[in-house]
Amino acid sequence: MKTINKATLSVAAMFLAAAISFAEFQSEVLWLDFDMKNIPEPKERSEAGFYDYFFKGQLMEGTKQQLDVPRWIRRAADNPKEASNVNALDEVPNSSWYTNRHHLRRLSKDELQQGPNRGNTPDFSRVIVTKAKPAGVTPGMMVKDAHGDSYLIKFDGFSYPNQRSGAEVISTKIMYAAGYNVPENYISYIDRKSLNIDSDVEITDENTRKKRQLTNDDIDVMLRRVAAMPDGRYRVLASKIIKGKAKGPFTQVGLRTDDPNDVIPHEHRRELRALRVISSWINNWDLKEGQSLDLYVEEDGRKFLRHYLIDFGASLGAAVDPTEYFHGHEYGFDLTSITKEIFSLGIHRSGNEKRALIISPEVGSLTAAEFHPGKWKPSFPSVMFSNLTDLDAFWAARVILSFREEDLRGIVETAEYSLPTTNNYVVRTLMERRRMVANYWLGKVDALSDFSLERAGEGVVLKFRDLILDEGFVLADAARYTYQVRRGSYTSEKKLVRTQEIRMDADSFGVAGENGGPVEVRIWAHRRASNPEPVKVYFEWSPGQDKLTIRRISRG
Amino acid sequence: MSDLYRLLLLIFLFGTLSQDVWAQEAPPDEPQQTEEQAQTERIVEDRPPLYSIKRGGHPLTWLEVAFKPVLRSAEGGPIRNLASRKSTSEKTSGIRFGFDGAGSGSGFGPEVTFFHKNFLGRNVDVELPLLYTYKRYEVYQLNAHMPVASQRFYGALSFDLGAGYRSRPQDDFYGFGNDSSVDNETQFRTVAREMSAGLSAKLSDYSTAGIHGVYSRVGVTAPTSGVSAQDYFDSSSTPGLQGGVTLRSLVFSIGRDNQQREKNAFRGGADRLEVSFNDGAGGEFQYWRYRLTSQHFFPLSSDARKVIAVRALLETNQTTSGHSIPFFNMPALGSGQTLRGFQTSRFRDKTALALSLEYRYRIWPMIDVGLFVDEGQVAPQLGDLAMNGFHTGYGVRLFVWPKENSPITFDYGRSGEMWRFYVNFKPRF
Repeated sequence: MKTINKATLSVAAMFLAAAISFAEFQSEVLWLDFDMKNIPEPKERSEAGFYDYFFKGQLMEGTKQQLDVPRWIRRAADNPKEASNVNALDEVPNSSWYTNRHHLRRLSKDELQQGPNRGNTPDFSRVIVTKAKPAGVTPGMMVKDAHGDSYLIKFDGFSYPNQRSGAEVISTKIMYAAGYNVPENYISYIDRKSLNIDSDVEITDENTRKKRQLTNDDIDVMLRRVAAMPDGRYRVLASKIIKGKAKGPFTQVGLRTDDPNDVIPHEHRRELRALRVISSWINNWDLKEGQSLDLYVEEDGRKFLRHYLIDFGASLGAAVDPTEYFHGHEYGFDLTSITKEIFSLGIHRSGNEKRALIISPEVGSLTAAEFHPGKWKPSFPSVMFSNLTDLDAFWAARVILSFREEDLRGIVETAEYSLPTTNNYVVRTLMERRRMVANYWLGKVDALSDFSLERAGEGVVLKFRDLILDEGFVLADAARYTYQVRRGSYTSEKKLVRTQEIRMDADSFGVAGENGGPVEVRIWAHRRASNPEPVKVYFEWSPGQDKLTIRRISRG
Repeated sequence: MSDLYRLLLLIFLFGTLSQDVWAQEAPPDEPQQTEEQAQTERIVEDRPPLYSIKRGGHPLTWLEVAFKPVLRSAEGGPIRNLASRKSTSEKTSGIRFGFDGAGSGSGFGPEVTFFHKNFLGRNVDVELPLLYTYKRYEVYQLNAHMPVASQRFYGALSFDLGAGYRSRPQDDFYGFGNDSSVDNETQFRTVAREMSAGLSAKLSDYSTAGIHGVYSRVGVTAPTSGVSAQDYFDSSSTPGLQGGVTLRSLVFSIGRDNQQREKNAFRGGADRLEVSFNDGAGGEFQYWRYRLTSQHFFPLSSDARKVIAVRALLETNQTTSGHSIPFFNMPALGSGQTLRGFQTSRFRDKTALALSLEYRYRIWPMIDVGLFVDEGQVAPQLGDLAMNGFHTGYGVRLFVWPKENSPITFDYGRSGEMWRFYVNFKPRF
């Protein structure tokens, strides 16, 4: 190959810069990642179990990740692989996985309370039992209500009325408002007299292990093990069966090979990585693959897979019984804890040795005490969660911070707890955990957000929020930001401001304006010993331009 | 191709690639329902290059695939059905499948037990365990317990009948004494047929006693492999080595067991004293045997996760005048149950003392770890045991509970001579 001389390289570099600048402003922002093209019906994936979440997920995939040399190099260079489905404003576009809701456009109290629930509320004046699981740790059944809609019915534990159903309703609505696809979950009330068994409902007999007809006695035995109300009715969590063909859970690593729309490895999807942070907030520790569901749906004449998170019964300190202490503190099989136990000869006190404090029968063990957002662990480790970067977590923190106290109070009301003190406690604890999550993750990034542009004469005012300041983690008078304007070959001097707005008048753009091209404003937030990488905000500017639009935000 | 064309191509490619990544604008105020209808762009057009090949080609992926059928079966297939079948303790009759060994050095293998707890409708408890190990050790037994119809003792006193066949193809023998040389390693084979009858009584919730008569014929032959003890040792110094023995025994036993368990035992203990008089056909063998076994547990924490466990075995055999004891009935040390870290039956004599001390602690709800020290010695007489005569083994053990109340132990023992690894499917200590 011939040697390319310096002059040629310079010309090439100029062309490249021009091409990039040109391309930068040529098309619309990508707020919809259109992964909803018509696809052939995929095969049903078997229900995820021990093999998927422990052997494959924790042992095999975990080991593969530990053996991934490029990943170690990137980590050593403090340059981890960022999520693939992030647009230029550091946001996650809508897709079959995620829909931007409260975070970008505040939902009203009614919308928050409604959550994913659409159409009829369950009418359990007449119920037909179509399937039942009378035995086991979590008895439940599948029913049809008076409208003919199908529901999965879950009961509260005998000694913990309202606990699990309340937690599931609250978490469902929070996850919905956060942007995830979730099922319609209702608090409902069932009278034993309204329960009728369908003609051919079979169960496996506990004693003989053989199939037989479900009987009224089976239902009575089951109902004796669950919480009943003083009037004899049963409060239940009714989860409406989602329309579409169930195709099994989605994998937490890799792609679904029979879904052509699935082109982003799940471990590189931001909304899935960040699920760890959002789940830590509501202590939704059961995040196994089985807690997800792919549904083959038909929308607007297209058939494709929509991806759901399901089953939030193990959250907010609830489960069948109150959440045990180790959940959130340790994995189900926690090698770190086991190693500490081995080498300390059992002196180390691991999470599974400790008992959770039961706040009340309704609340369970929800608490902000001993909650550490960075150390919080779901039931099993996952590559998806260990890929979480500071920017993913910052995004999740922004989502969480979009929930204010009045929003949470509105959502908690829908749990229909029997005591007002329960509502107050749950809201207070969620607010405290929200503060702890934000404090931890915001401290790892610049924490500047909500950028907007305003015209000020011929100049521009760039406004932003400093979330660390707004949330009160530092004193207001600690606000100091350095900024620098660049445009083409022009670079301004660095200037210091003490407010969350940067005024750039026409004069300061004078020289820059002559060069044309996008304006780049670099902002350093002063709050750490060394200045972090600046956040860079790009926008177009020209004298007399009516609308100013931020084109790109670059962090790190 | 000239440099200029190369550059133009480069610029074109770079510009095109960069376009999707950089072209953005501010978030919309409202959800983009209408735009969703029209926009069909992807943030990423294709799967990452070589992604599937990289994942599919990883050796750990092959391992995943290899284990998948077994683990899936354990999750919801035949293995799961087998593991989660109704506990046989709740059944009146049936077949119990298990895995066990036939004593030290036997290896392990499948055990099938036919049982009936109400045989002939008379509350007769009958068991027929059949065991065959991968080292070709065989144990076939028939045990029957019949409640004695006495108002005072009904349910607490039972008449026991037993019959058994045991084949041990190659047990080790190093000669007698506490200083027997490891270089004297030989093997011998025994085939034993046995019948017994007697009474067992439950004295209290924790105590039992029994008296049984036993008739046994033990044949000793050359081992299936290894060096035959019959070629190496003299039959005059090793009673019973040539041919075997027929014995009639009367055994009296008394025991106490108040162990408290939370998976492993953590408090209380079990003690058993057995005294037997043994008389051989032909007049060569006649002796008394005294055997005391004891194990006790002391919790170090209120949650019973840390426990001190101690175990002791003391056995002595005393011949009557002019008689001897068959060598294979003498106590031997060197096993997972006595002295770990040594060859099986490494030390053998008329008297044996073995002591074990373990510190056990839980490292996970289904795994305990134990650190142990074993001490043991053999001697001709009880009075010959000496403080400086102990052999020491030490090591670490792992208790794993794949099923509640069914632990498997893995012991790694070391001594001055060697190291040994033991797996036990029905550990009693």
